[in-house]
Amino acid sequence: MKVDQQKLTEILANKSGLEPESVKNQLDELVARIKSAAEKGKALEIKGFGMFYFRENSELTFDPSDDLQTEINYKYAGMEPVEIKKPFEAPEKSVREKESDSAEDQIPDQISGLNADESSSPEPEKTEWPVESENEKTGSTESRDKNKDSEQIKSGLKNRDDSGMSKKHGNRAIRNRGPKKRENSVTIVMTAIVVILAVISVLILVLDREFMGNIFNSGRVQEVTQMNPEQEETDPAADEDASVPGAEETSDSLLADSDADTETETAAGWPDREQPLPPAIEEVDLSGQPANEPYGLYGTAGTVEDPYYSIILHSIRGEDRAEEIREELQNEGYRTVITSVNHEEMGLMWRVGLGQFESIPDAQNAAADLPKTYRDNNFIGIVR
Amino acid sequence: MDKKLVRALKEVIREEIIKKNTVEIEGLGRFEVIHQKQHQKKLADGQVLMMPPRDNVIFTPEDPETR
Repeated sequence: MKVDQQKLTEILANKSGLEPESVKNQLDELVARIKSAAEKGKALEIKGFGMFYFRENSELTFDPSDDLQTEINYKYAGMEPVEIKKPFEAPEKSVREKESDSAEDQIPDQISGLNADESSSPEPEKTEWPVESENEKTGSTESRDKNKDSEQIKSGLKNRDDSGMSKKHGNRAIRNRGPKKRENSVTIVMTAIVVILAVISVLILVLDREFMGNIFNSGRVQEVTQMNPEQEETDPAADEDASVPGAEETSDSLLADSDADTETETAAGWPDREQPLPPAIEEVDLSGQPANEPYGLYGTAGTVEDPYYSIILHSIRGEDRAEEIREELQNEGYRTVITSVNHEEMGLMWRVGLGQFESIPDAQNAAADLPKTYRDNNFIGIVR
Repeated sequence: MDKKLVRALKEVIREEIIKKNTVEIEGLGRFEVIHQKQHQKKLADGQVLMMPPRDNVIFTPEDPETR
């Protein structure tokens, strides 16, 4: 929000109890005072506020006083600058001395033959320190090489990085070593995990593909073997009965019993749906029954006195349309029935159903044999 | 009277600035509060500090020429 001159005068008048005009005059006076003081080279200080002064480029400037600054920043009171990275001069010396000390300790464990040589080397390092601080590059590379050999840093990458950096950054490279050691080991572990996961996922993919391939192959083979016997059956049936036995001998045992049906098979290839299904399948199918029985899915609808169950496919209002659907389904070979039901909300509904069954389980079993479109979209209804 | 005004002026401006309002004085300039987000500061010796967020008062003098 902006406080302009007018508003300022208002507030000032309220606060000081003076009249607005008087306030305005005095304000102008004050401004003039500040400016004149600044031009003379003096700075005007208002206690508890700040200082007005003229900068070199003859610009009027103001510095807020410390009190004012603290009060403005009361929200952030107590927040001090946080050190993220240490300076690399003094602390590094102690770090490097420590490193060279540890090098001395490690060497006896690892390189036995060179004890005498190595023990003498750190000393020149230490003494070389103040001298070589001038030639940072050379000093750091030399000492770093020795440290490399002795300390056996974990990753080869890190060595490369250090040697590369030494040419550019000198001391900084050594300073970065400390925390980098830990960081590098962590990154190595993480990359290893990622690689392992990638390998596992690739293996899974490859194995899956193999399995899929097998499934496809076996499926196709089965289909082909089933098709062939059927074709052999129907074609000879249409042409000559004599060739049928020959074809049958080679066909599946499943279809071998359909002898009786071959004579009545039409040229279309599929057995006429109005006839019962082949016996082999008939044994499994509970609904496949001759047309003259009261219950069943196929054939013509018989008059059944007791209430029976039916697989309801459609429930619509129009009687004519229901009749049309019924005829279509009947042509497909199903036993169809139409019933009318007075629905609570919908009124008089005409239901077109397939089959007549004694019980709900019978109807459900029969429904399982229907084509997918009917199977997925039906309910079992009772017909009285 | 004069001192009273100066004191009052100081108080008023102080209050308004603490409320983060901009105060304008004709002939003098504008007092604004600018928020500075927290940021990293690199020192010459390689030290890096995280500076906390701050609200700073800045004064922009009114251009005498325009008047």
